[in-house]
Amino acid sequence: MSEETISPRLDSAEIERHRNYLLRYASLQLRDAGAAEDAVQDTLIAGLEGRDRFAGNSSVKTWLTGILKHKIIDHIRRQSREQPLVAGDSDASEAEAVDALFLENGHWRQRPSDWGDPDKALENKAFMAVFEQCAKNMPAKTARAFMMREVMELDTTDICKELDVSTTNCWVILHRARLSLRECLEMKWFGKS
Amino acid sequence: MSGNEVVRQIVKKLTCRDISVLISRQHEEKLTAVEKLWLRFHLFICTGCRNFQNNTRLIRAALKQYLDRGKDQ
Repeated sequence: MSEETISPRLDSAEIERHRNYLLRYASLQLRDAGAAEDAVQDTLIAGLEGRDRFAGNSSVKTWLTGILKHKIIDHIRRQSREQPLVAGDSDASEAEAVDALFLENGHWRQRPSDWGDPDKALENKAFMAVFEQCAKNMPAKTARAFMMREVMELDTTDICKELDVSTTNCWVILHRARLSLRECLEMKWFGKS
Repeated sequence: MSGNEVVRQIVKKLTCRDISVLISRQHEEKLTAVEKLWLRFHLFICTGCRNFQNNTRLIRAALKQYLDRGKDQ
């Protein structure tokens, strides 16, 4: 029951009940509990103030998520101006981490394993806790690009623009992100079961 | 060389590492017809890359699930 019926006028409870969803959304993208909290608070306030403008042709959740996206992008832009994520060392070590997954001849050093029935993992609370941990442990710059793609569902053109990197570089970062998240899950979950 | 032979030569040269790049990019945009062909040939013979593709799909699904329901579902 995640989709809601649309009432002509939204009451505050209807807006408020999406708080936890919005908070997970913002936390994955911003990786900063305080900043995520602020973005969500601003979103809920904007939602309450603007509820008369809510057209009702999308769900309340979708509408609020749209507002939150803007707040998040604003935050990221502000942050990149004030304290840009420096590539440097972490970039090199991430590239090394990818190199380590493959042999010289391009074969997998350790072949990715069969994770079995996806639903079985997805229904498991312990798996979801490990997943959260792995997602939050991704290197900052990689995570930012990956969450823009997977959480905010931006296309690569927009991601490249926000991160100020070339399209090819964008693909490299997203590839790296999937490899590292996969590796973490393999080590902390699937390799153990 | 026949067309099939050309494809076979190219496929042989593509490593798992190259293929993992294509598998990842497939989550971003549509691959070209030729790339799709390379991918299909490689996946046919390579369990590791087939698993990698399925793993990346599970990761995408897990992220959606996490957003919708959190970890304490």
